[in-house]
Amino acid sequence: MKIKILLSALQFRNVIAYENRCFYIDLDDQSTIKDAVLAIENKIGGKIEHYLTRGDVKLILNDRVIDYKEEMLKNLKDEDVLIFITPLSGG
Amino acid sequence: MMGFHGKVLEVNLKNSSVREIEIKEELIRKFVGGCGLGAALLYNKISSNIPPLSSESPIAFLTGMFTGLTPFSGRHAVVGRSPLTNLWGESTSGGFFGVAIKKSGIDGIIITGKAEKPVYLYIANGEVEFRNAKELWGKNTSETIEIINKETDKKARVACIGPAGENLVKYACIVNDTHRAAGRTGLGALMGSKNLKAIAVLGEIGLPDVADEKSLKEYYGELLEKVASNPARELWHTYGTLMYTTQGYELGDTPSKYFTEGVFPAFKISGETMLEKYEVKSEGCANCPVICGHRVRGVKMEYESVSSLGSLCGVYDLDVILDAANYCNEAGLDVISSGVTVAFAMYLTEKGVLKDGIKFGDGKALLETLRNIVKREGLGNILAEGTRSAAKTFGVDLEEAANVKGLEIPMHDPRAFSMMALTYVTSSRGACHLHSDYFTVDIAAAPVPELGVLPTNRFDESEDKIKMQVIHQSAKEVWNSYILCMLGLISINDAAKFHSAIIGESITPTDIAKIGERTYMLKRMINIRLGMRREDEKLPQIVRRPLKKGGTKGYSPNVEKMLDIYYKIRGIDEKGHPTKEKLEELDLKDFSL
Ligand code: SF4
Repeated sequence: MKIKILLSALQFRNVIAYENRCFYIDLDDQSTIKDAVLAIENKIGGKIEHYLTRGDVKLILNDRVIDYKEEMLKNLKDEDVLIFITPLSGG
Repeated sequence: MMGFHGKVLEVNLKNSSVREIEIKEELIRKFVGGCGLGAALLYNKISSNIPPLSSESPIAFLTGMFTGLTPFSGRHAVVGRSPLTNLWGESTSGGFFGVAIKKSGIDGIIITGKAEKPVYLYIANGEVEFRNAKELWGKNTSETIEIINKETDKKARVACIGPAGENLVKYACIVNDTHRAAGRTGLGALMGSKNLKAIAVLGEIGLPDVADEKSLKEYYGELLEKVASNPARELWHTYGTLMYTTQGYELGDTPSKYFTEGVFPAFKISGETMLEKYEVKSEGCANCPVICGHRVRGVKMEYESVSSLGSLCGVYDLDVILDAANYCNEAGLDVISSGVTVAFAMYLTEKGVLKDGIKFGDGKALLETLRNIVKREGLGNILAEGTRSAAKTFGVDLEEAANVKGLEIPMHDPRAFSMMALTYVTSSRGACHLHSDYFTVDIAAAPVPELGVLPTNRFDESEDKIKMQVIHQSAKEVWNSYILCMLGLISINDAAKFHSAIIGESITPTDIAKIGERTYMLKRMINIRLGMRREDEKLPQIVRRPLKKGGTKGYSPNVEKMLDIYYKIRGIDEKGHPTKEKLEELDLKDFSL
């Protein structure tokens, strides 16, 4: 299945340039959110999971923020979209 | 009285008189301070018979319960009848001016009447002096502040208007401590209409007593530690609010070309680009452990200013945006309303309504139009009245004017978060992105788990979601009464602890939401008395038309449906009035409609 990825979080700028933040990954059926994160780390050659477990970066799965620690083993489906953002308030 | 001196000065500019108003403890218990207290104090002084820019129309500068006493409390509130919306107007600003008021031995100042000639007030430790401002009239804000500091005391803190307020531009702001602004709802024009150029305050008396000083200190220290260990602190300090540009863009929250396009070069106007291109200096408010303010080339830059004067006008040149923001700060213009009105003119040119009008992306035209707005020349004179009024003058369908109740829509697209759409239509001051800033819940930046307000699908319009919005909106109301910074680094639990220590009684997050509900309803009652109807609580089509591309994914909020549910939850009847039972429950019977 194909998953759309948007690595927008500010913390990721040193592992991926802004203009390269959007791409697709191919995963086996039944793959989980955690599988997607590991596949991304492989692709970009940098570690990002610790930002999610600490909560500094939030993961939006199809328009809903998920709690990574609680939902990382949830299965994804074809055409799911994962957006990684820095959660900010104010402004 | 704990947390307050218990007195507000009422200054009449017509006869240069000053009288002291005693603030009763009961009022603080019910409305806390800041904007809530302002609504209660001005309730009987504002009416539909008193036009906002008339001599009798009051304007008040108020401090909050937390001012100077807790972290993130270097703020003050300005309230009155908005000349832009003709309804309740309020705006808060950071810096040091609020703490100076509180330290001068008073809790606030209410100003009525019109001075015969331009004046400024110098309030030194509670004593008011009326000073000639003839030489200051026409001067920009930083020069005004500099001169007043020379004439009075260099330690005095100054809030003033620029030429925009003098020329009664309907969205003129009030600037303090250079480039901090009470931006929204045009209260700078209220000052201008009174020939009041500035207020300078010297506060050396000190802060009021609190009930439990020991606990207050303990909570203060705890919060500082919590903030210091929060990784978000470093990001705020480094990028300020500008870091939201690229994050908001992804979700379709950051608008462009007068809310008509969802795809644009956001990175060009991002915090990252700003840091790369310029030397940035940090600047904070009193009692702030974060210091999020950023000065670039001497100009205070924020997400709202960069987006409204940049992407909304199709301008992506940071140099031009800096010039435009600097001009707004110096002339005393609200950056949001300015950007939206100029972008509206650009949109009308594109639509062929304005022949030879200004075009999207034309930075020179942006600057020239801002100058003409302040001088009230040509097209600028029409735009100086705000987007709603300009649409009427141009004979354009009001659905094209990006405002709610007359206040221009800020830089959070209501098609990116369903609850921001509901917030815009129900907020007491019109399209307000702060009460509530629900997008911060849905991106998990500042949920309020203490009150069950948690992130869910950002397009959800269900009753459960609307219930959470109502709670959040009520809680955030109180932020403007404590007068706290809107950054999410202070939680409602922290606020409850500080509140309890200051007054010496136990206050819970639920109590805070209840106070907010009361305050919200009081402001709604003021608006009803000023002529607001249910029909005014709507979102114009320009921000409901689905966008084909970008992060809003074609979503269009169903505001009518959400509003029905919202009214039911809030205890509001079909006309938009609070029910009798609700008024009794909120102990608002003393305020008649
Ligand atoms: S975080 Fe920024 S706006 Fe808030 S109090 Fe600190 S400097 Fe002021």
